[in-house]
Amino acid sequence: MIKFDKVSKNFGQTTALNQADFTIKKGEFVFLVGPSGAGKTTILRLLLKEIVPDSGKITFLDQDLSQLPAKEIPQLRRKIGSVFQDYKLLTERTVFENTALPLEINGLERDKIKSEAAKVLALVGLKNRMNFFPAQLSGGELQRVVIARAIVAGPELVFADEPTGNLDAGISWQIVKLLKKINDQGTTVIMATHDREIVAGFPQRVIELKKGKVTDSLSEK
Amino acid sequence: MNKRITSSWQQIRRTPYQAIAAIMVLMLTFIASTALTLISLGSVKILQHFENAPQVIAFFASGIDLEESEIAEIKNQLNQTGKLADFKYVSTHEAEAIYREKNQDDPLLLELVNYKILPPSIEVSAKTIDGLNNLKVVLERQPGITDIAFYEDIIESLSRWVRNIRIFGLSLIAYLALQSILVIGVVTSLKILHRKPEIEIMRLLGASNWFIRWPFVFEGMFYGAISAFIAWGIVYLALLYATPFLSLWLTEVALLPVPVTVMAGILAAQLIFGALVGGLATLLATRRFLKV
Repeated sequence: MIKFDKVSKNFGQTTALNQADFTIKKGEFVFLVGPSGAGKTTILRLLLKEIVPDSGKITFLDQDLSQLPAKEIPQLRRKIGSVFQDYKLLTERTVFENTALPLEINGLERDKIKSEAAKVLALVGLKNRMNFFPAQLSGGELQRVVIARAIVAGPELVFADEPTGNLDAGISWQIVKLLKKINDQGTTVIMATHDREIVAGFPQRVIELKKGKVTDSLSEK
Repeated sequence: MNKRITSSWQQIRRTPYQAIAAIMVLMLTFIASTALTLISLGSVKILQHFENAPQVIAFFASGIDLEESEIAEIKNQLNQTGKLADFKYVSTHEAEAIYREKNQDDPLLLELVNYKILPPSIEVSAKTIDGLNNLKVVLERQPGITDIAFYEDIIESLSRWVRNIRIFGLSLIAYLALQSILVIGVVTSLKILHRKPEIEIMRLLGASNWFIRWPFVFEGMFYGAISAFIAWGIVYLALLYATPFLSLWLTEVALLPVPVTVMAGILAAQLIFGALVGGLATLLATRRFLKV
């Protein structure tokens, strides 16, 4: 499903990825681990074609991303449910409206949007918060809204970038379990984290990044 | 589509002062274009009035009517030019009747004048203004002619005025439309900059340029249409207010009151023009500021 073939990316003098080489199959749950600045977010940005690699080739769903024309980037992004580290929620929209946004972007009918968004909000346990604004929610709730938004349109891949970064341990486990539940329904999930405890307590495949280099790949358990 | 219109409406409500500023500037354009449309239509109507009125009037000796055969001969000669559109002989008695009707409120004038001192006349109009001179030459040859009133200069002058009004009007409308496009463009650019983080998020979620652009375009179209409507209302009220005065001034031209159907037509045209100006301005602004 995803293939990084000797991908390098530099930001000025800083190396974000150095000859990164790994493959992720459809339906997998993968931890992408490494300290801050290791290049985890860069992988998400490369997958979304927000940035392009300096060298190497990225394939997503059998499509060479370097060959993807600019006008098809929105379609690519709709196939990836992104859980951003900084949430990226629309502050002037309610929980329901934020969750419904990918469905609107996909051009679904109003009734369908209503039912799908409500279903997903129920799944993440936020049905009673759907008319709240982001400013009225706790960190854990915000993270669950972002997850709801990421999965509502049924993407091929959910990429969660440090979804537990700002949360206490109890809430972090809830989030990881939620992502596993999504994975169990057939969606490929990549969870980028620097939290070793979570990785240790939740045995899944781990790809480790250190200073932009993939140092431990295909460590499936 | 409804969602995008709702989104546009939300944007307008969130920045009411920008909306009011844009609408007020646009209103100037539409007040000018509505007024100039009315003036242009009115001047065409006035020109038509003068074109359809007798353009050459030949007066004969006072108190002596022409014979039927003489009238027929003159008409025949005028017909031979191929330029004659309308021919009318006004006898001394008919001239008196016209005089009496025009001066019915002034008994002194009525007492002083009767058919014996009024000249019979032949009133003709040409198919085109170019033909007027040919008709005039024929009439000048006729025996007993005392005077010829010739309206070619007036009509030419009127035509020139109508042409100039149109050129001036179109230039002014073009200038104001450009100004409006720039103002809406600036307002839209400000809004795009203000909403840049939101737009970035939408892009990352896979929104197409058009998904992002539509609410702005609807907003611009709304500004254009609402400004056009308000401007039309202002001009119409001003026209209704001025109609009694203008009617006195334009007694001979059947111009006022302006029919409601004409005003409705102008409103429809202005709404379309407004939506186009607003839509075009936002399209240009979003093209410039929403590059992927």
